[in-house]
Amino acid sequence: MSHIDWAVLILSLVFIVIYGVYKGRGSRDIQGYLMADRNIRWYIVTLSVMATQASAITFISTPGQAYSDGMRFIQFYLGLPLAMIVLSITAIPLFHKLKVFTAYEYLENRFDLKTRGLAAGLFLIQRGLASGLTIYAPAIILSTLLGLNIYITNLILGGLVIIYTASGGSKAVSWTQTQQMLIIFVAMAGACFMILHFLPRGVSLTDAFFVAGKMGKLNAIDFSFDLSNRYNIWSGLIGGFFLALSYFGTDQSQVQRYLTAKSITHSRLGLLANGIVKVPMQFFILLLGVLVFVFYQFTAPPLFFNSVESRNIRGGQLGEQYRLVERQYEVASKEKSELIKKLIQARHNNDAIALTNVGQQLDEAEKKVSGLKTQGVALIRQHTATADIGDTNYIFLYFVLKYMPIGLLGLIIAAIFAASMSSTSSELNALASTSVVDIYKRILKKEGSDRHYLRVSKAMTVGWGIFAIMFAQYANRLGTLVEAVNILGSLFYGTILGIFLVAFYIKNVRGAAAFYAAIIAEVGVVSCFLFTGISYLWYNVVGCLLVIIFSIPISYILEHRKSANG
Amino acid sequence: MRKKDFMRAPAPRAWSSFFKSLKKSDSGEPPPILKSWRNLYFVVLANLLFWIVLFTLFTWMFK
Repeated sequence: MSHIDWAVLILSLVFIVIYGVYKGRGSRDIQGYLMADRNIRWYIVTLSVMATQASAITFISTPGQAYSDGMRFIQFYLGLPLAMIVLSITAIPLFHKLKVFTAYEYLENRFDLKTRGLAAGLFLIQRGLASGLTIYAPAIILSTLLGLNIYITNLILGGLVIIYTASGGSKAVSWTQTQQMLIIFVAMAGACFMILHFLPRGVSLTDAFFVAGKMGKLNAIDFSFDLSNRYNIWSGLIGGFFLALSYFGTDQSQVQRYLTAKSITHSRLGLLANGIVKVPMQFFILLLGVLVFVFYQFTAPPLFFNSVESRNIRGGQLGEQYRLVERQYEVASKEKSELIKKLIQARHNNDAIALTNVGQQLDEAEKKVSGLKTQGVALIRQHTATADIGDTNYIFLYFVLKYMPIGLLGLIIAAIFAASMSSTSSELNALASTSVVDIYKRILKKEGSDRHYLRVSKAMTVGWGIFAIMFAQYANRLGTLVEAVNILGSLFYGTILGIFLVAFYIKNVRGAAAFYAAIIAEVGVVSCFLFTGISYLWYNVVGCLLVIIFSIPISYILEHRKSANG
Repeated sequence: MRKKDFMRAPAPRAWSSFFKSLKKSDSGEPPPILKSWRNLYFVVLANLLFWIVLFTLFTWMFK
């Protein structure tokens, strides 16, 4: 990166921190600090909700995913607008009417303290560990490609967030997220413009789509019903709906964002606007990846996008063999480029025969290129058994670092930092709220002054921030445990959603029944994890259904026993 | 709607009346311009349907 890029990056980050501290000043109690005085307007809620969900990995990995796997990932988001409608009808009026600070506070109103404590505890474990990964995941990629020290990158990412989140609380989080989303939108629009500019002369946007479609990358919708296929319209609408319902309805990091709104109207409009904007936004990010793919059809891509792994193997015993595969890959890619140019020419001439013939040759060329890539990856694995052989996360950043002009490069890196900071700040804010409101204020110290709870909230924010940074520092030594932490989220999400669905819709079920059903469901989910091969994405459904199924008979038994006793 | 009527309702005025109506509805009622929340739910559903149709066409056109 040039000095100008570094200047853009540093100025953007410093501006976010100063702006956050400035906008967050003046909170005198936890109503102001944790709930932003419930005075946030709907469009800020929309941006805040979007910024919380869109972590740095969204902007780093999603274009890479479109490059490797096409557009089909978009179907994952199709259930989200439906969940926004359901939450607007059910959860928002309830939460606002009770004037709760956290989603789990509602559970005590509906059930009892132990159910509230269980849900809050599960959230703290899951989100506490995940906040470390929100810092670590982009830091490892940024440090690899920019040559930065991973520990310093973790410290910068986490430290900047702690400064404004601890000082300004929820107000600072919501207001900085609007600025962060602005930086992200401008950077992504700039990247899109430059990619289109880099397409060879004579290749229009329609030609680019034509090439991407021929190579199977514009597979946005798949109507086939297949349970083993992770992304089709049915899994997107049904699975995506449950996931979004669970995430936006029961995860405090999201619930807190729309509870800061000044009224039910503003909360609803905030979520519904998210339901309108989210799908096109993800589509646009995936489209960036497809355009990068088209660009690399005319310019030979590297054999492996993770340049550190490539450098390691080139300097090792298998270096000569790897370089040979690299040369063959480059030649094969150039041959493929020529065929693609012929294909576009045939399209312009409306030559159906040439289209068929060149299409067949292109399939063969693609097989050859894929085969060489597989050979290269196998050599990397042979050289380093622990090497990260998936390079999807590195594709977009590799392209950005190599081709983006001075200034825009710094802005795109700033957008990635901003995305990481926006998610982390919401997480720290939510962790502090749950720790203070659901545990400290409710159980440990019931009688305290406003100033005391404000001080504890700030201390909790700093404490969770330090925990997240420490976890991020150790994450690279944890190896497969990182994946385990992701799985851990799915182990709890379904059970928490089940508790909330029972609370909302099954009026006869009381607290004890919901609590015991949740314990049974959690045992069931952990058993699925330990003893079956079910993919962890299904744990959400299993946990949720078990809570609903068990809560009804347990409620009946408890009520029956109660009436028999007296 | 006749062309002349359409010309009389420029977009900026619609937006300003939307924001004005929003200020009056801080109590939790839907903004008067929407008349009912149901209208906004239909907008969200229609928007989802629009994108699904567009993606389907996109997939089919560039297969």
